Amino acid sequence: MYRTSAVDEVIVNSVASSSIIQTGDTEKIQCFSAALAIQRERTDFGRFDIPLNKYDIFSQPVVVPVCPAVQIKKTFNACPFIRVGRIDILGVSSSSLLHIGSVNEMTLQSRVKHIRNFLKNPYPEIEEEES
Amino acid sequence: MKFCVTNHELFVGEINIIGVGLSSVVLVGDVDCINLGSAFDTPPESLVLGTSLVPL
Repeated sequence: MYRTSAVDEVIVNSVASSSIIQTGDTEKIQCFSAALAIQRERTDFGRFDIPLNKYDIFSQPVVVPVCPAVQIKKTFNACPFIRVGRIDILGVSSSSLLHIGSVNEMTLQSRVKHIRNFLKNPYPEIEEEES
Repeated sequence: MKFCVTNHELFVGEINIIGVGLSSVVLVGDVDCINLGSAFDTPPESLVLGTSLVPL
């Protein structure tokens, strides 16, 4: 049913944060990534305990369109190969995926909360206008 | 729904990607179903003053 993927050369510089390079067929893939991106005015080393459930974005549902149910699916592979000469990727990160081969079902989700943390208000004039 | 596909020859010379991030996927192959979801929160209110980063 599926075609064979043939890749001559793969160059990947870095694979980080629960990322995957998979060669071969897969039945099901589920990936999830939750990130708290904090930019701070002052560096604070040491333990950093913040419960993710304090932020709404990590508990709100992400609405994704559902795949329609296909009753009759006919695939005719006139050429049973997918050929790629070269894949050059600098970085794969945060529950991402480089997959060479066929997949049946794939579900990936990511949630990112950005925080800019200052010790003093860098925009005092804006607050005066609001009040 | 009736769905018929005929796959002829597929040959890609070179793929050049800088970055794949945040639950993204690069797939060389066939797939039946893909579900991708992303939530990204960078509002003006993301500005936090003081030492406590946890919302009240």
